[in-house]
Amino acid sequence: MRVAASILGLLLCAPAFAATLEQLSIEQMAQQSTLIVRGRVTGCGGEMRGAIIYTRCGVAVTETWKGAPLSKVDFVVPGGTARGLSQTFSGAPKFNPNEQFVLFLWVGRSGIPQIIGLSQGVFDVTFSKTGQATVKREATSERMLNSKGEPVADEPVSLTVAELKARVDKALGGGGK
Amino acid sequence: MRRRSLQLGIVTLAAASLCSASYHFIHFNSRTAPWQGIPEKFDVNVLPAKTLPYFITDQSGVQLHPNDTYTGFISQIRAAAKTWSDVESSDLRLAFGGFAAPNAPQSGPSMEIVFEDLAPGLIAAGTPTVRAENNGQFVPILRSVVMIRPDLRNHPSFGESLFGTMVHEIGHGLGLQHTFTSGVMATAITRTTSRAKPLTVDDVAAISLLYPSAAFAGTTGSISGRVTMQGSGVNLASVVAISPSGAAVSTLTNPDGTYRIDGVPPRSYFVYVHPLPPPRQGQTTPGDIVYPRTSDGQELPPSGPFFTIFYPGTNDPSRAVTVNPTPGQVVENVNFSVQSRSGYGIHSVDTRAFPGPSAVKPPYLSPNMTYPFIVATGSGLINGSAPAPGLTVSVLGGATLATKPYSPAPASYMQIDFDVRTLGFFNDSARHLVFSRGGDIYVLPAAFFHVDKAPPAVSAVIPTGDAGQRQAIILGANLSDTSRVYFDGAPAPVREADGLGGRLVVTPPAAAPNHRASVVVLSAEGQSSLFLQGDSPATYTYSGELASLTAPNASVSVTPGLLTAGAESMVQIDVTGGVVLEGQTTVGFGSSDIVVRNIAVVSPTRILANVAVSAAAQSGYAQVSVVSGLQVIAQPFAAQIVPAQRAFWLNTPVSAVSAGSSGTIRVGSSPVGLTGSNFVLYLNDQPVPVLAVDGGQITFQVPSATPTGAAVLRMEAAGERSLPILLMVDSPAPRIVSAAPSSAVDTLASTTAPKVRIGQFMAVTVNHLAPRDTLIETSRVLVKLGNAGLPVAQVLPNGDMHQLLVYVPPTTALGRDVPLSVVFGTRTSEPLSVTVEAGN
Repeated sequence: MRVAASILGLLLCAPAFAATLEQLSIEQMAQQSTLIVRGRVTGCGGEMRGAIIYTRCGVAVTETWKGAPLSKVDFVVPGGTARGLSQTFSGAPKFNPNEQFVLFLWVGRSGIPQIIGLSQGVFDVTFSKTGQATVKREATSERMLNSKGEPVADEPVSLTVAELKARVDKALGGGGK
Repeated sequence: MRRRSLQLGIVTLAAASLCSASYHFIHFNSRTAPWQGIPEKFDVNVLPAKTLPYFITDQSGVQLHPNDTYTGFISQIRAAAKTWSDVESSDLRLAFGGFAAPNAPQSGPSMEIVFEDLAPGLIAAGTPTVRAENNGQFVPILRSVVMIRPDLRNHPSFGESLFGTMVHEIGHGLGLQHTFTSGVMATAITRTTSRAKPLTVDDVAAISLLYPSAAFAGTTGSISGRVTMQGSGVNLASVVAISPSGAAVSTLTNPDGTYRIDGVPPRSYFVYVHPLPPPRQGQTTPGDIVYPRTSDGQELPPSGPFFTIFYPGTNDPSRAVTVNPTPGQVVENVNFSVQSRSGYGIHSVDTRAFPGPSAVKPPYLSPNMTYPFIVATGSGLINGSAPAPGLTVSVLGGATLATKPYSPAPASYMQIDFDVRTLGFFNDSARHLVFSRGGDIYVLPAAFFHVDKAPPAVSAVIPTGDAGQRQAIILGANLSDTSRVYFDGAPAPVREADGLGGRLVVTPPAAAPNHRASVVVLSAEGQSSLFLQGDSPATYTYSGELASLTAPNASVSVTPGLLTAGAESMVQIDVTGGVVLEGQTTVGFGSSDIVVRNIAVVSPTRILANVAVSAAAQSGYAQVSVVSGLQVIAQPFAAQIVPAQRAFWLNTPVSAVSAGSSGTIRVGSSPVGLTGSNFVLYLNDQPVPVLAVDGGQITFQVPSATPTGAAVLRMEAAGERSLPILLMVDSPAPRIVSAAPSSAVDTLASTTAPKVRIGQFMAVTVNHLAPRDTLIETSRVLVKLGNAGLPVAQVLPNGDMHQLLVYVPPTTALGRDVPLSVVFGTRTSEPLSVTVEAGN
């Protein structure tokens, strides 16, 4: 009975994991996103929203994997510089113009898309010597638990864009749009 | 383990060069060496009473765990902030400033806790707000923000996890970055703090270095040196001083590899250096650190990964050398030469134990476990479905431990078994593990705790008493007179403790009828009843018809309703439809422009408060918040700030006065220069003798017939009356009536030769401690025997007196005429000479 009890305990009670972040699998991010796009960052600037500074970035969209197709979209990440003030949230991603990403976005009450899970929903797009587009995210092979303390499947360190899209499509039941 | 000690350079702190700790948000004044770190911090000198107000804004749409309550959640936020406010070696205090209306003007420094509509995957985050400039010593934090997502259905506020998160994020807001010693400022992966022990020595050092109290530097030492790789300095290496049976304190290196660990309590330490762990999912930098910046804004990332080593350059802890910092001195030249590596080895290890059926973090091992073990997961530990080949695990300074696959989840977790004989001794402090594989080592501070008791267990919470004098009986196991009990994060003072019978009697904090509070018992060694109960704690449902601030018809009014910018005065706050209680009530105006200096609950429906309005405050309405126990009310438009004008006002007295003694008051602004004969001072509308006038400071006599409690002070000069100010009149200083071994209290209490015995409890009977039958928390009273401060185990009202139960440690020196005194708040008794005898 000891083993059975231990399994139950480990899965159901993980009281101190994932304090700031709830770690999400690609499938969870796909399902919880409002919008998933591939595109190129066109520029970013800071703005104050209440007590919080956000950096708003524009994206020229080349593919829409989930949500209504669009040619451009703005999103925000917490932190940045506005009105001579600056805030830096550890874990918040930074973007430079012309960099390519696949972005998992979520729209809340503000109506402005945010990235799922701070930087979890950001995948840099790079190209191999053969021209194949791949996405990378650091250290995704870590073992992790989700918000209920359940182990989440290992994530590959890198994927081709096509492989990532296939996983998104599968998570969305065959088609995101 | 062999311990060796090297002769190292030791200099006093004053003579040492300063290298700031990098677990703060660091700016450099240059682009090259020498690197003088400039941290971001609040300027405590501009904060009223060195107190930072924090506000809660925009609570709309908050969704809570089914066993949670909104008022309980607010109470937990306040408890998290109190964690930092209670650090004695830090001068910074935090005070709840109420609920702020969105976009309320704030001209002074503050912290805002905002329920922000955050995307899934992000629970909370905190950070300072600064300008891109510094004053040469620090970068002033103008305000800070902690944002929490409103959807908390999976994160109960009474739980260990969200509480740790709130303490952590508030720490960021105060200027602290991540450290790697398993403290509350560690990332959640390795953090092993608990609600019962929310801060580690490293956390205390981090906050105290930013906001040091006068005594801090004189009680701790420092360790300094340089970390190099092939002769070049290593940036952002984490250097840790670690005591095998306790504290770990750390810092990060400067760009040239130099470092200095400050705030190190005096004892023996091993010192090791390790690279920052690589970013994990959701992180963007190694260790999730915000990099230091040069004077031109360039970020300085860490040097590449390297092999972890102990001082003086070994990966074998048994060959490590200890250093021994002493107060006020720096142990210098603790240098490291590290070897680079292509990738990262073992890192980011998470450990848990099973005090009951559930895995719990922090992991505590106790003798009641028939088969003690912990489970661990992390990078580099597991290969397939077993511990990685060649992996060994040992206790730092102790035995090597047996490992095996954790059979229920072998691909993710390994099991580490403990033979209690190898642990040797119980220790309330943390124990550390060293993971080793193929020459690669990883040190996990506070990997587990070895204590002599199982966690507190609560089997029932039984209401008793009536609504006017409510009590609760807590039944369970592992309860004692050192247990602390919390109802929704608010303390419930223990009135009686029967450890053998598993029974506590507590006084619950005030709450509305039908409010259901989560009841948590914490033990002195750091365990919680939630270790066994998880997200389903024992609860207590309030009964009775007591009017509540949370009732729909409750309201609050402020008189006068007009508050003058740039002035200080007393206001009267009346509650309709609810009641407030002495000792459990807080008032705030939701803006750093209106600071509540002090309050007095003069009746269940009336509060008097001194408020100071900033001269820079904008005109407009203010919202008043009143919190009493677990009751909360916010009243919009309760007061209005009016422009600064010629006002006649007094400052809030710095301290309370006693009847029959003298008091001092400082005049903020008066219509004429005060000479001693051109004004009259009134206390409760009666003129009082003025003893001296020194500039704007007036010393006056407090009539001996003045009743204790709230009094109103006012001045008349040049035909004008000042704004009133609240003055607290204390009862006379406590007086020790008797002191005796507790076992002999009946026979010795009245003797003229008080005596106590070492290794035994003594009973100290005190008069004038507090009004008759007042319950007092033990933490508010200190007994001093000679130069030693002894914690009080129990305070029992006894008619007009109070009896204190105090343990006299065996280490106490024997002797006659040893002074014994009692300290309660600002009041200290006259010393009583006692004889300290050997125990039986």
